[in-house]
Amino acid sequence: MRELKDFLVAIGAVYEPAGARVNLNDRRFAAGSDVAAEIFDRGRMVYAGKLLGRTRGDFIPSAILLRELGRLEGPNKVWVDERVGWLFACGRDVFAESILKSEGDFVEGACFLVMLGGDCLGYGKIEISDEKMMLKNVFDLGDFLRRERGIEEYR
Amino acid sequence: MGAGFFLERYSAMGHELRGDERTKRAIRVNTLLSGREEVVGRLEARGARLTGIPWLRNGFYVEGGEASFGASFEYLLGLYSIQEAAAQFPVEVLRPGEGEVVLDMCAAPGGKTTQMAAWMENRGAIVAVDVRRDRLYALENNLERTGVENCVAYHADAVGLDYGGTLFDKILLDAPCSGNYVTDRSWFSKRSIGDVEGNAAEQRRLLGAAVGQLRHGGTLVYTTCSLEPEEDELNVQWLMDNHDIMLEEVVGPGSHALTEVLGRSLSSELARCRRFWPDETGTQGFFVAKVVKP
Repeated sequence: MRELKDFLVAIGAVYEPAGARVNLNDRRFAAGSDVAAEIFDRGRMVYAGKLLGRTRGDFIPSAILLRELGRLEGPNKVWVDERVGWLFACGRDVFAESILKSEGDFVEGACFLVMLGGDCLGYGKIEISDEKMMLKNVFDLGDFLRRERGIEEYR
Repeated sequence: MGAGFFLERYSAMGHELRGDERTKRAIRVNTLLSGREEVVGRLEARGARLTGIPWLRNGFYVEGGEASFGASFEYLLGLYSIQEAAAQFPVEVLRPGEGEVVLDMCAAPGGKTTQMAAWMENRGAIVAVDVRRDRLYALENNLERTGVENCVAYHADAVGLDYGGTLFDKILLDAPCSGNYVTDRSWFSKRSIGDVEGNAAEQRRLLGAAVGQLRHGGTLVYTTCSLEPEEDELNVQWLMDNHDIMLEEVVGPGSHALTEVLGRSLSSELARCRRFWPDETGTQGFFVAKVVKP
């Protein structure tokens, strides 16, 4: 799973998901043996085990993977307060002055988890212009609400 | 047919309902990702008031608070789900365990699927099936948000799917039904007895298939959120008449199911099933039957 490896390098994490890899269109899963035993009709299957992420150009990790990475020591992280965290969950970027604490080097293109205490709210990518640094929002948990709205409109 | 027709039916079943009863807002703590005390503490810190629902393991009534319960950090982090109190009950009756293989026949949008995963502590496997693709998107969203890792989901008619020889330890059939007026203010104006009978026929098709997919000694929980006997007691009577099954007592709030209804005398064993009347339980209408295949 090349895309996952590239993401893990960008975020500075060492992580190997357990279980068999299952690809389903643009989504990547890891399935334990009990789950893998119940895969009997791939044509109609829409979900299988632990969702690792989606490949849409770049690899976009799932909330499940981000939660696990947030608990590990090693990945790049920034910590924010609740106000900035909520803005981030609404799709906003994080500016350097809003970062309370960080682990990892701020270099162009590096990815950082955005943490509120012990909870991972998503992640972003470092952008630097005119010597100003910001963390560009790539994925945040507010995506669940945006998807729910999308599902309502689909109906 | 209107409210009068249905309220008269309920009256004949012993319940003088007003037709405007409502249910309280409830959540279920997701024990895959958090503990009861942690979630209660976090929501109370935001000004919410939580009251444990005595007949549920992880259910709380919720009021107040500074933000919508469907748009809080804790919700986005998957620490709880919004789930009506009665709707949390069927999984408590089924009690899916670690390592079991469970079928969720009409699974979307996944509230009960994620509840079962929590009971199973993400071990074993849940096969979740639903025929409606739009509702499966909601299920997939809920699986990811709540950290479920032991589910395989299929877009299919649960009756026609080839299960690869699997016979299930437990099956939840939360059947598509006519619903009830407590959670749908326009219910009386859009429902007819024809709808009820059509749904009842579809439920019998699903029930027959469910028994076929259950291993001997396995447990099936059949549930609807309908108050109409055609979808509840009469369907379970049909199951008893046409399949080799036994009914187990459902212990919990509400009333025994009816054994005399719509001019028919049913098996006394039907009283082992449970009915939630809105005036008794303060919830939406609900019906739960626990079936064992000998």
